[in-house]
Amino acid sequence: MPIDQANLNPKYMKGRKLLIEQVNIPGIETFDVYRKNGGYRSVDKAIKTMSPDDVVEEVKKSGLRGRGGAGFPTGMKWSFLAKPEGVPRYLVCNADESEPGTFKDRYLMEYLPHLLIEGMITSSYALGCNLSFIYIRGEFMWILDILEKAIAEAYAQGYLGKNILGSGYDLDLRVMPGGGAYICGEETALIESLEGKRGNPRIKPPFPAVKGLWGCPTVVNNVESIAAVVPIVNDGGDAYAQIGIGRSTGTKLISASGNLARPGVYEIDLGLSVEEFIYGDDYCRGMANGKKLKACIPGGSSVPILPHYLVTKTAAGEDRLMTYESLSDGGFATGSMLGSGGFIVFDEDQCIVRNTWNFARFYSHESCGQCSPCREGTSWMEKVLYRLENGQGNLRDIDLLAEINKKIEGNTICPLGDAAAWPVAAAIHHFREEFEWHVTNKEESQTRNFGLSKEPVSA
Amino acid sequence: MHRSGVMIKVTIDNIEVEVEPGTTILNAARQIGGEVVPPAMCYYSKLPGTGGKCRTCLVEVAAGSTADPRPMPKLVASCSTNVMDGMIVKNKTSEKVHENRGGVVEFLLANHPLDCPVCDQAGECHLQD
Repeated sequence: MPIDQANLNPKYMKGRKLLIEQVNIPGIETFDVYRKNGGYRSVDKAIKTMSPDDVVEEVKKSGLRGRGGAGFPTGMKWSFLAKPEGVPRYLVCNADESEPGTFKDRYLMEYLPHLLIEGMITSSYALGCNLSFIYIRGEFMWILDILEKAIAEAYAQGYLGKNILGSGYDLDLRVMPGGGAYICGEETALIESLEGKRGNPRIKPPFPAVKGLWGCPTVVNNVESIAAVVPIVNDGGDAYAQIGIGRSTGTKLISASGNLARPGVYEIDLGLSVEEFIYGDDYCRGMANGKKLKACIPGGSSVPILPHYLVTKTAAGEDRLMTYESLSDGGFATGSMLGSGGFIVFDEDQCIVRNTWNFARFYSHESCGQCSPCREGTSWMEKVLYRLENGQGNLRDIDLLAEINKKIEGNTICPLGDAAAWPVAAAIHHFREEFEWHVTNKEESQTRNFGLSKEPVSA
Repeated sequence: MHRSGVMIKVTIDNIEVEVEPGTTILNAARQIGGEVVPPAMCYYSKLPGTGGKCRTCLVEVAAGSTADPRPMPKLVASCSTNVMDGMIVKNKTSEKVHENRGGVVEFLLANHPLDCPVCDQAGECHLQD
């Protein structure tokens, strides 16, 4: 689906854009235009004037948190990297973006391939890697071509290869496509896949920072985290840290989808209110066709869903903001997570049971089948949800789902089990009435939707 | 028996045992034997890279080690977690373990053909226990 360019005209947007500011410049995907617009400044600055540790220090100062979903501080992750003598280290960029509802990395790589490459060079320099990889999702084959073309240009200009800018620092950058499995976005599965094996997550510890790709220390970072290193090095970590609120610093790409008047990829300052994001003129401009908001999943399919009365306000009545902390305010009972920024919005015509079933089907399909709770549990949940959605369920099924959830969560090797369990648990928690309605009104549930859920009356 | 000289102490279900460093919780429990040993279906000591998959051997670690006595937040697979000095493990004595292990076995049986008479593992199968 082509992204509406009018969405991204800077004239219509407020706030500072650090990543996608130049996306509308014609020819920005070529080296010459990118360079003319200030591209590769961070590489010049880092390699000529900074030591690798200085770069790590700047990233630490910036407070940048991993943009792939978990929100782990990038600078801290980098400083955990083991540095034994004589062993190569690797930086791997996780471009296996397959979370339903998330498409920000695709957008970044498609329109600004050089930004990612610039970030990769600067980050690799900081970590002392001489061979780095971009692991790209198997479905993104056209982006593979875009990136390879851009990498070839960077090699020709001396920004990659031997002796970059005469500094004596060597870096090779390769793009590796995966086979299109969701699980390969998990860092250890990604490493296995990169090694040419089946993408099964490894048992941790050892963590990749100690024993990753081919047994060597490895850092795996999301595309957006790596791209964010560019403005951090250019303007300094402190300047970056000034944007945002508290521990959520900088800007974040949000891929808004669902029943919005203007879905698309937006770069926001962390700390923007959710209300402003959904209804603001600079952002999504409210719901499509004047419908009412029913529910929102703020961070991609694996985070808990929020019912309409908890989207813009937290349970305590405060404004909900687009930050790691505010979105998770209230924990599992009344909160969610920022996750990867896959902002999915549902209007009153959407069926939560159907949506939950759809996600469960996705996770049961994508479970690697290595450990039993996830392999058996996800497909079991899928079957039960299918029954409920198609008017064959009974009331016990709802409790059964909650039970299965509890037994998957925390007992699996990798977080896919949790990711499968959370949205189901949250959907039942907030929309139990709708699930029950599917059981008690079997025939009606096949012809119309439940509509909005009622706000619980607080005692 | 004291080959390397250094032995570490670990407590499993209130029974203390001394094992060599690098032993897994499962193997430490096997040195005690009896009821304390967690069931393990995918672990076979002679195979490299074995274990960690079936999750029936999950145990609760109430204290990580003497140096870092914090409990581990999640249940861990005893076949792939090495013991630390002063570690306190709960297997039979933990509610949480019972509940979650029951769940795992339920998952395993949910899609498991109960054709025990034709199965080679019959008689030695933890699922039959």
